[in-house]
Amino acid sequence: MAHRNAAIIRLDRSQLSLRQMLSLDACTRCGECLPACPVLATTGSGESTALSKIDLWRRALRRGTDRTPAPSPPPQLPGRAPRQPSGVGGMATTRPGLGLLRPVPSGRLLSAAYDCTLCGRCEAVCPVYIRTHDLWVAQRRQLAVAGLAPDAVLQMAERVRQSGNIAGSAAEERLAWLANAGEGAAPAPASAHPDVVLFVGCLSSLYPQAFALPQALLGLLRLLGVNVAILGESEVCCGFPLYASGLEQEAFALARRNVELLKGSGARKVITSCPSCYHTLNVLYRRWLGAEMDLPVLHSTQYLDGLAGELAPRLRPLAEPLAGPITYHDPCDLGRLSGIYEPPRRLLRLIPGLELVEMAEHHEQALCCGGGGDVEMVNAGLSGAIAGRRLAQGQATGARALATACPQCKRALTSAARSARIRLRTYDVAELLLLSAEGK
Amino acid sequence: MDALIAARLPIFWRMMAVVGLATLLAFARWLALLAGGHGEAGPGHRAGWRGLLRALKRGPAVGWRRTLAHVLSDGLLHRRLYRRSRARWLAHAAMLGGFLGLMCMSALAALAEHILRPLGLAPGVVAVVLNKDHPLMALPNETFGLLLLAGGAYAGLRRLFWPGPNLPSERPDVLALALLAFIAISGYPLESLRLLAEAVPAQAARYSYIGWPLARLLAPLGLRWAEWHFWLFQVHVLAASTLFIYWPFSKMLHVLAAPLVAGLGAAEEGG
Repeated sequence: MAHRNAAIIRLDRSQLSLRQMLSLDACTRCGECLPACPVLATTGSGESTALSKIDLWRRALRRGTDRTPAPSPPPQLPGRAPRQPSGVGGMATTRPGLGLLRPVPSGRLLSAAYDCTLCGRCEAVCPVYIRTHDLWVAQRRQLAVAGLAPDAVLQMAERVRQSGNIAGSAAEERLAWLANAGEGAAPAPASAHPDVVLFVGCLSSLYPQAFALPQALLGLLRLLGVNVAILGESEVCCGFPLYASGLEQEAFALARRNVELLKGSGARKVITSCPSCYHTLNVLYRRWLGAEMDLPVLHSTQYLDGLAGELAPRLRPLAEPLAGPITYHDPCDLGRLSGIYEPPRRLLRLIPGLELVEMAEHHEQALCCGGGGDVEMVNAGLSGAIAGRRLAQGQATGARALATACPQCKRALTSAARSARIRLRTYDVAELLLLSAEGK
Repeated sequence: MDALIAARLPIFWRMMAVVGLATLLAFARWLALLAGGHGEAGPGHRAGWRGLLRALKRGPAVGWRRTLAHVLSDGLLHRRLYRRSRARWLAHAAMLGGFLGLMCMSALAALAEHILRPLGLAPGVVAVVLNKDHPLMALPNETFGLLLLAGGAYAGLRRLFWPGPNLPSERPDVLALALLAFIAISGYPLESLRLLAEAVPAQAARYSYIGWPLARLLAPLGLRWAEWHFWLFQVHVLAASTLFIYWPFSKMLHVLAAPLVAGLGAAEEGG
């Protein structure tokens, strides 16, 4: 018996705030969150739903966990799993008898916690306003502290430790996107007192599918006469992937370094085209570093929206094949997490003749692209399947293209469109604006 | 038997003691967490009781007044649920209203019996409150029970028979609903048996608009109504005590936790 008890891993309760503990008790299992969960809708597996995760965690906090895999394999993608008698595929159930004392298998906790895109749709519909996004991150933190984080997450953390970015690339590769950005794109020296400093982020710097974002943004800023600086090779990961995967402590050093660099740039404002970087710089850095982070941070769409008066006269109707309706996908970290819904839409409407059509689910109810929450890292199939659902919603609008304002959304949707052979191209808002300004 | 019957109200107080103890246990479980408590805080976060005192002194980010206003509008009146589903909102409001109403009626009776009457205070009010056949007592009692039953019936039907695409029903859900339903349903025959045991005249009994017709149906059986009433009362109290003991260890704890969480969340969202 002593041997069995020794195998039980207790989750560190102190990783949850009092409010988060209250939130576990505030859930009434009403099920409002179930139709909102993209993972459930895509796979039929209810393990990652808010209802199930809260239930699992209530029990795991009481009984602990152990290093055993989930009792049954998750249903295969992309088909839906058949309904089980007590809930849905793998959903948390209370077993009778001695099962009540058994620790919750860590496999179940891991798949529940990490097969979640952190999209926050459950938070948007919860009748008692449970802050699920923060709660899910705290749960991942508990698993990481218990030494249960998935290998893919640990490998990513190691890459960040070694290279300062999620790709594990050499620092000089951060400037690869500048190669096609045109003349005068070199980073402004700190002494030039730039108007803004552009925090490019790992995705836009190191993943070719997203290079077009900073290129277009830089093009627009140059067009508008904005004196912009970048951190170049010195920039390091903002820390969001570490934070989101439960390794928040490891992000503090990155935060300090970036803040030092941003302040050293001499710019009065920070802009970024990545919603996750935006949330990290604007919210998490202030939480982690307090007054040390005193620079205003804007998402690129907010900044451009503020320059709409100067931008609008330069815009022309988009040429074929983009002439026609365009739909906009709300990135989760920009919309639900940061409350920025209208600036990207206002910018798109500046383009003469552009008809903005909404998908079936938009604004607060927008479906996730599948690329969030580090899911792509631990379950690429799930990520792609969710992106496929979003693309289908985009296609249903009859739009010529899908616009978004996030490099990860663009990557996820573009990859899914390629693998599923869906003819709907994804553009960043900045790309469409630049195309319009260039009369293309 | 008379002595046993007279012990009904002390039973209420014992039950209240159980509720108090269970609630304290629940709070203790939450407060014990404050010894650590990272939560959403960063490296500068101060854990422990000192951290809690500091947090309480600082208050919620959006201020106490705004938070309390949202505890009322979103924690108790559930505006978001209202926007999403009128039917579910009505069912929840009926259950909450019925439950709170019945609790208040019981507390009022206990207050009158054990505090106001011995002290000779408000004799007029005491007379009304302790007269179960007075319309001001009988009508709300019957109506609150009916509300609880109607809301519970909707919740039960939704959970058991129309669970939607994916709503799982588990033992804790069913147990909580079953206990609530039993307490509400058993209240009506209990009232009928009381009317029969006390031989309440029709003129006074008619305000128990469900209990009295039921009493008239039962009357031809000619049983020993006082004893039947006593034993059904014990069962009724046992079910209520079970619910209260079960409360802090079940999803029923949402009654305390949800208004706080909803109030804070809605206030921050500016909902």
